[in-house]
Amino acid sequence: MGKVVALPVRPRREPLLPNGVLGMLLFVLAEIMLFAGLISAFLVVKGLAVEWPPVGQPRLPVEETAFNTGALLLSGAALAWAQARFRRAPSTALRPVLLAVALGGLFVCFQGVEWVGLVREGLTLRSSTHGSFFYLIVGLHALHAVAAILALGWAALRLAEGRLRQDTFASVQLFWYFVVGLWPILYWQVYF
Amino acid sequence: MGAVRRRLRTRLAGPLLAAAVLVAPGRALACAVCAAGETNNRAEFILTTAFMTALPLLLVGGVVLYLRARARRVHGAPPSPTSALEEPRRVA
Amino acid sequence: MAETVPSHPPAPEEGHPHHEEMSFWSKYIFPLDHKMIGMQYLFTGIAMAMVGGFFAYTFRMQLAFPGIEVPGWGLVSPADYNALVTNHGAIMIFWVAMPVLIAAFGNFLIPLMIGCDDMVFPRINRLSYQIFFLSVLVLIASFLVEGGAFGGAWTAYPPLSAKAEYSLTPLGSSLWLLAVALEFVAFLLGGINFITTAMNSRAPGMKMYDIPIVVWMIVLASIMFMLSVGPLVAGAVMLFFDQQLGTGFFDPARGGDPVLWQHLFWFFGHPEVYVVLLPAMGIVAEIITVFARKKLFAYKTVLYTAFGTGILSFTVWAHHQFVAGIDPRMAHIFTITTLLISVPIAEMCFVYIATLYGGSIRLTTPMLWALAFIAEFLIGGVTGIFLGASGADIYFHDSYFVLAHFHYTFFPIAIIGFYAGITYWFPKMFGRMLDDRLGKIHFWGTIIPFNGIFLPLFILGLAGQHRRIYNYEHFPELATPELQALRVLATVSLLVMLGFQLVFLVNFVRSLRRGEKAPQNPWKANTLEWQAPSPPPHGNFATLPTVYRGPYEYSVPGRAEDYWPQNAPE
Ligand code: HEM
Repeated sequence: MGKVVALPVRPRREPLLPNGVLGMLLFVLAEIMLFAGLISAFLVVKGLAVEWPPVGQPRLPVEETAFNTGALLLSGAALAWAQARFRRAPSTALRPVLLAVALGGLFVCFQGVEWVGLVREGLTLRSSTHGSFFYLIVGLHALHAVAAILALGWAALRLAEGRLRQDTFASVQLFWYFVVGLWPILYWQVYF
Repeated sequence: MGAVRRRLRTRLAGPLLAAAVLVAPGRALACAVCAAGETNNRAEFILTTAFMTALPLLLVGGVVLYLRARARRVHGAPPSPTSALEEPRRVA
Repeated sequence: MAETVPSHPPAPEEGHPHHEEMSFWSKYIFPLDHKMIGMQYLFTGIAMAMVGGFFAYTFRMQLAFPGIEVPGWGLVSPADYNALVTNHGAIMIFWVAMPVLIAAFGNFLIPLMIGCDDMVFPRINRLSYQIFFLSVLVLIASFLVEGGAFGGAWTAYPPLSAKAEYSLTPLGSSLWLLAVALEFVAFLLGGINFITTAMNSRAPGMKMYDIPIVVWMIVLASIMFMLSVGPLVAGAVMLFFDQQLGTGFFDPARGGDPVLWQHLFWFFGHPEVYVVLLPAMGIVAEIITVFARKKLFAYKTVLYTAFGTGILSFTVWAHHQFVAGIDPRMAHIFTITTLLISVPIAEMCFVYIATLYGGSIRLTTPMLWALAFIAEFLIGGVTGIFLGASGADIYFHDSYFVLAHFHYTFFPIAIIGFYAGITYWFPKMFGRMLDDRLGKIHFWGTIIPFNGIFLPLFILGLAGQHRRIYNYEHFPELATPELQALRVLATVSLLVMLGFQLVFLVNFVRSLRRGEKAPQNPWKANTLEWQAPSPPPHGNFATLPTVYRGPYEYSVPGRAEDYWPQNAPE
């Protein structure tokens, strides 16, 4: 394999989905299965319990989180808006992207505050399966949210430099929509 | 006459089988391991089993359908990932 | 996340350096070239196969001659025995079958067979191998820590695996779990790469039905892996928390459910066996058509059958829990699906046999391996029917009958499939021919003792011998001289078989250095990889090929030659 050859011309085949978007789509499918596994596990363990939440464990803050859910959904909408603007004139998309980042950041911070409160009330990783599942599932989602925010921030940076390509943007968006779309399901399953 | 009856029989076979499975006892008395599983989360187990079985198939099915619709939009006519499973060229 | 899946195709200007001479490091240690990454997977897989085989040798010696000093290991303690069996199973499946069949052949073959110059995400490809290598290191580390390596079986059922008080391996079990999880991440990245490449980078003119079966199979396997691995990763995280952070997900005393793990594990575990089976089936399909000089009997049937297998494989997993106390009604359903999934696999075997019918068969070494695959795998498949019936399984479960059954499937897949593939593509990979005579000696020296190992184990299983037992002398009804003779027979066969593997190693190393130079297309095959130089240079093809026909146009009437390369315009 030592010989060096000239770079062959890439074949002309118009892909149905650009590489980055297809790759991200596949990744998201795997992630959906990951969370499906967690939710199933949660339901099975919950079904085993006589009382839920277990005796002596705090109830989760449903109402506050409803507000928080709204913030996250809005951020998804902001990103969709950004895409619409990006198509017309890329530079005008910067503001909605930053809005999406800010709303996402708000979501994560709010959750952090909520966690501190819950730990004070006695819900910890070890206090019961309720706590274990709550921190595992919601924490894993939060990790994804943080990663997605970083990716969005990076996209915003490239956008500001005028170097963001449509398919790059599309794959980052896809990941963010996954994070946003997953949350209501987790909220419905875990909090109620 | 015989053909009709035979058809009826094959039609009924599936539903009958399903019914037989459903009314079959949830627990066999002579079986040492059956009773061990008598817990109150059986419903959840069955539910999540069905869910987890269906989900991957739905996901893949959804993506394939989406790609197909997209191929229609992009190329106009059929050629697409699965409908791109068309006849291979017959070279003389 | 932006790092995990780069969101832009490597445009030529950001592709890898094609024009400069590369240093040793960037060429062999941190390559971006798909062929070199394939080699890395291949050699790591072979090394791990030696480790897994050595473990098998050690515990088989203990079973045949309880309490002896095993040469090369020493006295096998009960804890050693458990750790050896556990890691033998895990290594053979996760660090041999997966990397060799999917990652090594997938990396090497997919770009070559679909006629492009590299994977679409070369850097992710490299990352995939690096994570895989890290997982190997973590696995090795698990042998060196306090308490020793994990011994709770490759299925790692809690509560045994969840608590250090039970497993007695406080660190080993967590490192083992970590290694498995890392390996999954590596294959997830690799799989995404395979699927995207096969979709987006095919040579112009290559339609869906022109893709060689082996590429289809590896892609389908990657899709199945991708969809099944999530729940197990979830389970692995939960188990890790149970081990290290004191949660009680699987601890019945604290409201958890141990059977839950079995579901999460087998939800992955069963598709996984088809994940490794399909690529082996694909390799066999390529070899059989080439050496029967005949068109694959029913290309579309094989393809649809593989789709069907993929779908069904998600509906059978609970047959591993027939005796774990699942609802008998659920067991009925899973019995039916399990028996159903034998249909598509049998169909594939029939298609291969039909391909042979009337062909002009050449019994080269790769062909022998491919035929042996079908024959041996059939034994594994047929014995699986016994186990799929939930009633019969109550007796067979966890006996050596099960063990012999799945070795009759896994050995053909991982070992025979590997030998078939390597003897067939060796000329392309390394530019030299393997020695055919040594290859045949190695073939017979492997196949005959293989049956000598596992046929006796069927009988032992029917006699009631349980799996994962350190010493059968403690069971009076199993310690009879007749049964012991069978154990000795199995172990002696193993020694013979391992001895014959040296023939392969000698052949391999000698051919690498002094083998006859391979022509571009030594087997006169149609698929695109044979239209590139042997070995293909960086970038694969001098000019990227255009495809005009399907991959299996052999012995077409009216042509002077009996093959018709996919890229020949006429
Ligand atoms: C080299 C020839 C091989 C021999 C002689 C051999 C022998 C054995 C034996 C005797 C056991 C059971 C030990 C016990 O239960 O006490 C075992 C377990 C196992 N083997 Fe193999 N094996 C071989 C190759 C393979 C291959 C190629 C694979 C898979 C690709 C494999 C996968 C497994 C698995 C998954 C287990 C179960 C481990 C467990 O119980 O946790 N083996 N092997």
